[in-house]
Amino acid sequence: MKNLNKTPKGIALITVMMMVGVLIMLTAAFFEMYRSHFSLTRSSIATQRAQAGCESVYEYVAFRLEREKTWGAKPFPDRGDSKLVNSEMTISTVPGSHVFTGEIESLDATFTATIYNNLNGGGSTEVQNKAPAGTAYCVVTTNSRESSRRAEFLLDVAPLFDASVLTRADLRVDAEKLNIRSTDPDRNMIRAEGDIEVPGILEGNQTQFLTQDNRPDERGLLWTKSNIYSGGRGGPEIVDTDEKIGLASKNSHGKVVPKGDAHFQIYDINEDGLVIPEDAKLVTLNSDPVAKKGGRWTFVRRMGKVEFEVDYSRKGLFGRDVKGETGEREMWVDVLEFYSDPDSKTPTAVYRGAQRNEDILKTVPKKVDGVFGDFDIDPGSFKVSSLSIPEYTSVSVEIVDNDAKTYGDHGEIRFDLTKQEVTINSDVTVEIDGPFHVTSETALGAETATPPPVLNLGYKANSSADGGVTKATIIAKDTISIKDGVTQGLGRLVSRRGNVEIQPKSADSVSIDINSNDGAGLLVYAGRDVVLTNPDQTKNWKFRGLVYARHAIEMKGGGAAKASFEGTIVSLNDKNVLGSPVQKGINFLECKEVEFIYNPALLSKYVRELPNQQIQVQTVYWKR
Amino acid sequence: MSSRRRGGHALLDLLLSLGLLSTLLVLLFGAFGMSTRIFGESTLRQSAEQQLKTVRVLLERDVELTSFWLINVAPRDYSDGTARDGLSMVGLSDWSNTSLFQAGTQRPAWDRQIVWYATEDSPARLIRQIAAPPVAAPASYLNKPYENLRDKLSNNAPESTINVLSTRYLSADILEFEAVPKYENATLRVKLHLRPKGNYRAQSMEKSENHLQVDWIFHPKNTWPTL
Repeated sequence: MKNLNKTPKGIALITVMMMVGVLIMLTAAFFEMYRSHFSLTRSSIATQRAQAGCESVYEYVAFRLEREKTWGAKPFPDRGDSKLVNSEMTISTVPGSHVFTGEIESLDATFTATIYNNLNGGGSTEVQNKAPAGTAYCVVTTNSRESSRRAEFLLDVAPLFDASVLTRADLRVDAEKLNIRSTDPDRNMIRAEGDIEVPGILEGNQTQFLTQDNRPDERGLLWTKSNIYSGGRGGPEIVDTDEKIGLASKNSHGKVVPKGDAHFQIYDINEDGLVIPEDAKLVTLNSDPVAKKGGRWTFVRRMGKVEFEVDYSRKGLFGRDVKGETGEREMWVDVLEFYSDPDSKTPTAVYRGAQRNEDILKTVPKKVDGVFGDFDIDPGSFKVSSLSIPEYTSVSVEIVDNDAKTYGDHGEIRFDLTKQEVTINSDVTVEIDGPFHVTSETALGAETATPPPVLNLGYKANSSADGGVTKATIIAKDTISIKDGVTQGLGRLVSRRGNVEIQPKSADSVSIDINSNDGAGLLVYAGRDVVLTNPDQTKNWKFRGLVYARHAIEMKGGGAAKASFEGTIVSLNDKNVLGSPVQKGINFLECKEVEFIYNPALLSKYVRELPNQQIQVQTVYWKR
Repeated sequence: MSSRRRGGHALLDLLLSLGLLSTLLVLLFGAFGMSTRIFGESTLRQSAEQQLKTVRVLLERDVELTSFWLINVAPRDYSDGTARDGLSMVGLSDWSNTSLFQAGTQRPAWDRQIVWYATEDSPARLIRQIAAPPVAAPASYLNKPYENLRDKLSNNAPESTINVLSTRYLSADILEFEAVPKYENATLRVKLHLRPKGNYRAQSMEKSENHLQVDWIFHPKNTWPTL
């Protein structure tokens, strides 16, 4: 009986022991399995953190070099401890070396890096061995717990503008055809923040990325943060579905990317960022009490009251003496009017060329004599002793020598009354403390129209000048407008806070090598809008240079068969710029065929580095 | 009387003990069976995760070192509608060899095409190949996305594909492999769906399976021009 009582208890105990044993074994197996699993996971996380640490150091180096171009060019002089609060990164430099170390709290990582900066060139042998001229080399090792990562990267300076057309607003090309080319080995892009409308990209080959020798260019990229539209007869059609994007990409040979979400930045350059020759002679209008604040100069034929003297071409015949004509007559005369307020109806001053007589000669008839023959006027003898414009009773007319109103000590700015032409010496920089408008006008009743004015910026081959050519510069505080005339030559037009409205003559009209990146081209910078118009609607129009508008840009081809723009066209769409007369963004109008050619070499002739030695860097290589 | 009472008590004890023991054994074997199943599935999942980690490490490195603009994707759909894409990207045979960098620009002179693809069968195999196609003159290095990529993706004999130097099988449990270049920001999006199968389940006679789906975004760092 005693045994019977003990047996079941023994079985129960053994059973419980077995169960506990099995459960312990299972639990131990689970723990062991998950321990190795968690260990792997931890190691993986540490590896990723170490990798992220390398990338953080890359970002820091790029950030630092973009603001301090010479950082790391020489051994660090001291510890230079700094802490970046946002990324919780602490950095210290090792004095007397190119090494910097640090800690990234958010990644639980430490790093040691070495930088050899030769962006400016001319580094020490040690630096040059690691970083060829124009580059910066960095090697970094990051540790996070038990994991370590190493990365090497080389950086160089990126162009400030990386596309033929850049805008923070919309781009609209109203044409039948658009060809996009580039001289850059890497880039052929158009980028915008707003909508892009290009000709028939869904319909065929109306919009194409092409190489310089007319082959399809697969580097092409049409990129916007907003929408892309295909222009056509039926109105713009949005390129939004995968099928349409694929078709547009196929038709254009490039990539068509609407709704882009990468960081997109257009550099906000001001006058200091432009390349203006420092050795150019500065000419202002300050010495002229009338025009010192700028204004509008208008070539016009007005009805004037002219007091004149003129001789006949022969003094007499067979003892008959003929005296010249004198008197005062009302006649049409060519004058230059200056308006200190460009919108005013009454000029501030009126100028008349002293030798100018072609316009009034025909008003003084020859002397008809049936016996001795007609006595013709001697053109060289014509003298205007006084001139007044009845329309402007309070404005006197100034008779100027050499048929030109000039400004500057040596007449560097010359308004030629005979040719209706404004000439700026190629070796000067003209600074105007106000607007600079040049127009021509045909007064009501005038027999002949006054021809449109010409702004001749000129250019001069000069081996000692940068690029081998000296070019004039006009810097105006307000709008520069020669919108009814023609602008010819090479140079720079800068309006600090107004518009630039010109009709630039085709770039191939200049006689220097237009294929050179050194001397050719026009820089147009406007604090507000730029309006460029083809001056000769019958011909192909070629523009070379940089067009930069803080607000909007309008290009009018005037129905030209082909309009070509080489360089870069940039519209900043600055929200602080108000009162703009043209549509926001960049608009190309009235062209049959438009061509963009991105040329970074040309741009470097117009744009300096950013202020305070700021630059933009790009990766040459990244390896680990 | 008392011995009869004691005999009845012993029988009751025995029955009770047997019942208790049976219950305990059922519970024990049930727990054991469940543990075995969970253990098996956990092992299956860990194996899948391990595969995934291997794929990620390799793929991340390949993409990180390439140029976004020289990536090519051959979208392929299997008969069940799942993606079995092909992905190619340029690479270097030896990153430490300075002669494999362009003399003027210092940029990598690409000499390899690295190809990833999932075979068109079920389950699919994920394959990574290194190819050395000839460079088309006048270029001195590979400067274009891999041409006719689709034709270079072999389901049956990957090793015998032209110009292939090496072939590595990374997983045989692939249900889906999709690669999408994101031109919006010059990144590569890769979707991978693993479905490893384990042992047969006792109740259903079906193999246990585990689904592991990931969606990665990679950033090719040797991309120029950058966006």
